[in-house]
Amino acid sequence: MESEDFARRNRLGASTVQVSRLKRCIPGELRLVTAAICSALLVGSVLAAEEFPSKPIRFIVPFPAGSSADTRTRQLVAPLTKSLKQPIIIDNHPGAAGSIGTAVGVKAPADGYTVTYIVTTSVAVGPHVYKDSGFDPRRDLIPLIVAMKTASILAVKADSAIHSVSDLISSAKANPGKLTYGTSGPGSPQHLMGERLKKLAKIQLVPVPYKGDAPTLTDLVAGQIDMTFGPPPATLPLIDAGKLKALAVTSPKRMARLPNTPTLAESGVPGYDEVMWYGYAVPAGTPAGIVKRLHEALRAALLTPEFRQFTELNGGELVASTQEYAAELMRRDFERYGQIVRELDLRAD
Amino acid sequence: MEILHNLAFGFEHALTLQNLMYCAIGCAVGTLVGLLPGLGPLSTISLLLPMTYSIPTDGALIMLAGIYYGAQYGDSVSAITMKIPHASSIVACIDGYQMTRKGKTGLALFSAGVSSFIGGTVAIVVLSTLAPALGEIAFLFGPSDYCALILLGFLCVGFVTTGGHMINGLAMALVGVLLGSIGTDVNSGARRFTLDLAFLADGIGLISIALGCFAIAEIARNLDSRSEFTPFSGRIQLIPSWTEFKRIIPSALRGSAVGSFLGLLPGGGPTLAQFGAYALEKRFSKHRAEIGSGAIEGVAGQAAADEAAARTSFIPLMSIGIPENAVMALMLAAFIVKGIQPGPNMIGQHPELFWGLVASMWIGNCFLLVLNVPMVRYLLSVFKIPYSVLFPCILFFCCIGTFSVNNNLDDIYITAAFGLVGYVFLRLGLEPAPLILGFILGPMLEENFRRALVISRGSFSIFVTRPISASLLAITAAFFVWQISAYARQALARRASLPATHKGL
Repeated sequence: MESEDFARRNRLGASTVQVSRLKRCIPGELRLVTAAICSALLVGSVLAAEEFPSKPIRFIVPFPAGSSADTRTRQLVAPLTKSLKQPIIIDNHPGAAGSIGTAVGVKAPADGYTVTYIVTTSVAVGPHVYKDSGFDPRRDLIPLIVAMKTASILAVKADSAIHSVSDLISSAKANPGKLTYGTSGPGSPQHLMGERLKKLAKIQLVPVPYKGDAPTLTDLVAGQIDMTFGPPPATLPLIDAGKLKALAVTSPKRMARLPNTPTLAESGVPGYDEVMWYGYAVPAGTPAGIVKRLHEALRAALLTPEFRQFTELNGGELVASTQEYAAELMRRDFERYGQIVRELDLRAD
Repeated sequence: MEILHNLAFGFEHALTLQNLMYCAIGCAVGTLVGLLPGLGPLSTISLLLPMTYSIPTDGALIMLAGIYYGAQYGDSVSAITMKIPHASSIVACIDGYQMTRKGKTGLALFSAGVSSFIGGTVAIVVLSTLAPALGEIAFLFGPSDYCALILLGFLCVGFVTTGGHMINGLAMALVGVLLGSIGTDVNSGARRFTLDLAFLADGIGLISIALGCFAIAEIARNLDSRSEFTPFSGRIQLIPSWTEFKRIIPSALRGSAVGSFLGLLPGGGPTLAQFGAYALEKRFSKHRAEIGSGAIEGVAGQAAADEAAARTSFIPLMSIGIPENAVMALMLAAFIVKGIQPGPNMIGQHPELFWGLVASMWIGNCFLLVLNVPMVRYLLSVFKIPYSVLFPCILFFCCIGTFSVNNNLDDIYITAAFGLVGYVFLRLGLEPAPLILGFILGPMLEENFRRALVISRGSFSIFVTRPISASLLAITAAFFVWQISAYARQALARRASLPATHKGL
């Protein structure tokens, strides 16, 4: 009771009373030992901070949950968690065709705890089309790895009169400006692939923009548009079910899932090579040791049999490249698409 | 016979203890998510998607579906009691909230619950019998047909305007169309009205406008008014009289029909279905004069429609493999991760998934009816919390809900800005429902109109040569002509009679 009166009168009140009670609980020598143990634990955690990774790693995906970008990254969570021994958190920041999320990833601290999903559209094409995106990929990002390359499938309706690429080219030349192809908007992969085809084959095609792959493929099956460069995961089921016909693929080599479908390069458009790649990057300034660790972990995760199976199911080509290749590919595509965007005048403002 | 056989097969899968548990979890989470402001089924499903990777596929599908259609049941509750809408219960804020103000909360909630049950049942019947054929409907509608359908949809603006002056409703619809044009134009890639701000590049979110104009504005109005308005001053009378119950049935059936149809169309779904059902009620119901000031039909039609639309939106995914809205795209992602390639004839290739889903929808429907009608009075006891605590909680949940869409703080600022704008609208007597209708329909109309003209190479004849488009345009034109002649006749009659009697429109 006395101590309580003292507390009430004293400004510091309860805290003083509690400290004096503690002092009475732990006798002299034990206090020293307790202090030693606590500082040892603290030192232990300081040392742990030196060992990467010591807290969860955030993967920024600049596309909505459920998109192919998101699904691909989630496939890697299990193997990465095992190899890095830290939880992996997927953070979706959709918007502006990947620019918003990539900008978030660029501005994150360069300590290796924020990895950004990068794809051709967001780092090689996007910065040219959206000049105010707030980052320059060559200066602000260190690519860690190129995971997968995906070609697109040039598809037409199953009962279309066009049976091959040569039919397509002759039909386009006979009716200039009448054949339509679906895109996901100006500057989207389909649009760029179509423009390249127009340039190399010297034909006229009309782009018809849609908000995404699902409406494009619906209208293609319905016959509203003549063709599209479909992404394999969405297009392959329709081809297998006989609703669409694959005329060609856009990669230089044939796709494993479609061994009987020629490439565009083999079908009268020599030199055609348009593939989309995706990978992961960290902000510039991340220490080299951490970059190497992340690269190795990602490479191991990509080479697991489960991921290989996922790649084949989705019609892609597993790359799991070196760091140097990734940096080189990003730089090369950035310059190439810069020129194409200028030629096509695709600036969004 | 085949259908019964398939349903029996489905029930075999759905009635396992595990799947029953997933169904119950899905429905419960869905109802909770619907009750809470802001957080919608889309955000919840994307948050829970990683969890489904370790659950067997049919259980995951049942649970996610339960969340989706469970949320349609629950979101009517928050709209009726607190005027807090989700994207698919905006119209419930009109009549439902008016009924609450008149003290008929229990009746409104009962109507919403029972109509949702009826809507769900009708949709399940449609799913079981017509699913493969209906998948093909999406292919019948080309851009010009969508254009004509949306023009018909704009007629709903008149029905959704409940106040005195039609001009207010039209003006708000046009403001909505203008707001909808903010963002990146899909046809030209140009950014419109984005003020060079990255977060406006994809436009303003519907949920920001809905929460701001309805929920936040109403909270501000409550803070402003002298009288303390408590929706739950006494007992909640849930069981209606027989005459009131009879009024629910025809509205619910009409709403189910509209919802089942609009749920099939890409880009459609519950959001559009509610407006269609409300307009239909206002046009064809026996008690249409009361709609807008608190009529059962206003609540019943909408509740049935959005429940039916949520279920039939599974059809395009399961029968042709094309997801028609963002929630279906998430389901598609769940399939892909499991190694299932959804595509045409998924019903044929994975019958246990489809029929298990249909069977679990029956089970979920019953479960939700129990959860929403008798037990809702316990859930509503949360509203007995004093306003000084309740309002900050509501605002908190609104912020969480808007943030969870894009993980972007700027969305919260937009919602706050619309809260202010919504309050100004409220004081000026301008209604937000036509604004939201214009916001949804305007961009769709523009996108489809320009696409139709690109495909037809600039020729307008595409609108009259395609049968669906031509007939829809004819209906719209006939409606206009009939309305104008009715108005003219009434004006003449008014001038002729003395003293002038106000018939109104």
